[in-house]
Amino acid sequence: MPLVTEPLNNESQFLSRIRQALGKKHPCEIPPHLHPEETKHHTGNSMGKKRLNRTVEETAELIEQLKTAAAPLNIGVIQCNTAEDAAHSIANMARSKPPEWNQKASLVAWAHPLVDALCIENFLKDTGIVCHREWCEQESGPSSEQRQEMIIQASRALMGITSADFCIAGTATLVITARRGQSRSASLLPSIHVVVIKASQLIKDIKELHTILQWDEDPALRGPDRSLTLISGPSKTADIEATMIHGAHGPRELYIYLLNA
Amino acid sequence: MTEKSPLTYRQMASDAINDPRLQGSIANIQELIGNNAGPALDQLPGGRNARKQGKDLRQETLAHLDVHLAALAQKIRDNGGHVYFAEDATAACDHCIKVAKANGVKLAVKGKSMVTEEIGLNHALENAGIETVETDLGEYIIQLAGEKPSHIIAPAIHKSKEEIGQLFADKLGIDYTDDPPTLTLAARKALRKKFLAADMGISSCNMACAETGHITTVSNEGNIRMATTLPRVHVAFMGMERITARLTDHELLLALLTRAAAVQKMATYMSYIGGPRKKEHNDGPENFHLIILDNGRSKILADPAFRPILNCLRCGACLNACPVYGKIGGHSYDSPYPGPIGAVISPLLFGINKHSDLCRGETLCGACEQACPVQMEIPRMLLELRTKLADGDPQWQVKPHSYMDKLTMVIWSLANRHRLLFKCLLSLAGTLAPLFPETRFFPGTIPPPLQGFRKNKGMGRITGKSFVTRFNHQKKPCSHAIQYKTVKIQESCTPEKKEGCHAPRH
Repeated sequence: MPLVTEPLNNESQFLSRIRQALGKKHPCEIPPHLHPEETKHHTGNSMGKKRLNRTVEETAELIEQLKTAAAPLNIGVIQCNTAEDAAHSIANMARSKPPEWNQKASLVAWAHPLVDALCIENFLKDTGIVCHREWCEQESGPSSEQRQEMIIQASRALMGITSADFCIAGTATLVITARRGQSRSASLLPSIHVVVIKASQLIKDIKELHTILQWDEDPALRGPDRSLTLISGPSKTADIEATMIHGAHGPRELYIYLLNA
Repeated sequence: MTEKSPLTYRQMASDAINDPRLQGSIANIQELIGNNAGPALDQLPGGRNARKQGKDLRQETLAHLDVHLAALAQKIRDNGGHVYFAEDATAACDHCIKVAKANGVKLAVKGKSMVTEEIGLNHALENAGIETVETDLGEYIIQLAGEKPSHIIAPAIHKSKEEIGQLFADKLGIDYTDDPPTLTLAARKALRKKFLAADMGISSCNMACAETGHITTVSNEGNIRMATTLPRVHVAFMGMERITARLTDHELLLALLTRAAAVQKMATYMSYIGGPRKKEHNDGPENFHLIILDNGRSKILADPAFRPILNCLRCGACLNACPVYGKIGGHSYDSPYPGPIGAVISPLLFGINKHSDLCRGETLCGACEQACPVQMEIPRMLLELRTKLADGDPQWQVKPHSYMDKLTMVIWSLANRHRLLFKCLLSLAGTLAPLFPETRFFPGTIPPPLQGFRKNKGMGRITGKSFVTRFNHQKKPCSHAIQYKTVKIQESCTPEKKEGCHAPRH
């Protein structure tokens, strides 16, 4: 792939024009508390750990908040005790909804412990509905042909099953990060997006999310380094005479399966 | 974009006012969003103070913009992305074309972006032989119709569902329908093909973060996610002011943005993008380019009077509150940025003289300032622009808008400061007045070049004797009480003030 190199002098001219406009003489004139590197010293760590030691009551309250926030956003929240219950319900949905892009209904699913635990294939055996698992073999990633094929599968799928890092209860916002075996398209291209999460993944607000992103002990949760998406509802538009319509480009329906376990 | 439309502001405004359907749709959005955005903002923690905090955050960030931009660029490069600093529209468009050519791009899909409207990117790409498709439903409608957006967040607000139905029937070959869900579905199908076939995705950047080194895109339709996920190359454009210092700044500013723009607590899709996909990712762009645009912004930054306009979050709240926008619509502004924000930023970016009508067309009622989630003093800046137009300003290359206006104001000012001159002019006007035919609004006509003054306002008849003269000569006062009061007033007014007090009546 040919690279486009950017002339660096262009950048220094650009920035010096800004400095001139601001009346700054020295490039490093900035109060320490505002310096992008300095904020790491904030004491946000305790808040980041909060999600790990929430009481049952606190979690119950977050679930209520999620339900209240989800209803007006057209998000279905389904509480299930076990992965099996969830899989049963998801399979029923897959059977009952007509496919949008293909004659035959098909599913795409993330390679993720919570999604794997559904064993959704077992519930689709007699239906003829195929479930495509995402490629997740080597560290080096799939070949471009495999990538292309996955996109095509996702674009024809009735349903995409993913998990999420977190769900912000107050605004019913799913926090989804792209990782190995966990594509962006599974939450974007299929007609229906199904998310399976545990109740312990509920967090209070975006502030808590940002705290985790910055200070969590688990480096896999820190970021956002490349691609993190916050999803608060199915795709929608109101561009024609301000009429609200779901399913502009992305999924037309969104369901959150909340596992109590 | 920046070419002068053949129609004048006045003509376009007048056409819009006489278009009942347009009036209806703008009234609708002003009611739906305009009336509800304020209360939604006030619900934020801190209530009314949240906007002040937002303003302070923006100002703080702008004060060290150079440091933040350098940090952002560094982090994105560390992640394998490319950053280009574009001085003006041409440099930005040229770079985008260069990237497209280097990657063998034939089809580009675009998310809604004000800044690419500003630089005329679509036109430049089409000229370079690259098909460019707008994917926001509103923008797509506008592109098919060959028109320009008329609202920052609802670009096709001026089109009726019947017009859109006819447009889709003509351009997409579907059966005519005016049913919004069916039309949306038709666009979904047509655009899905484009998304899957596109080699390049172009997006804007609603906000970037220096601390983490990512850009944030916001949409409800999911088209920006499509454009930044499926094509091989992602090119993001950002106005240089569109940055926050810290990730935590995003919390308040995003809340202000989505509440003010669409009365939402959170937009449907918000993506933090910090570079191309990692090698182990199953999808996402191989190449990520960020183009940071100046295009006149550093000049605004350098002028303390106008720097606060760079606080703007591009939410469109001022459009939804503005009584002028509500009547004349977005197209009358003849700029990618309509409404009160456009009336300030269009002149500053594209020429104060070129867009001289905009600041003079606004009423200074203050509705925009009240609606603004970051408390921009738009009326004050409109006045500043008017002053520059009246007096000229070499720093902004402004020529006085009209020497005749200026001369009139100088004479008016002189007359008000010199009593004798005032009296002379008044009696001259009184002597000449009977020469003009009397109508309901006297005088019916005023000879050029002052005829414009009479156009939209009525005026009392100028008599030979002024009110003060007649008052002083009145022989029979109606009652003692009134006489007492008038005496008091006369005593408390110096002769100068007395004339001044009554002057507007003549």
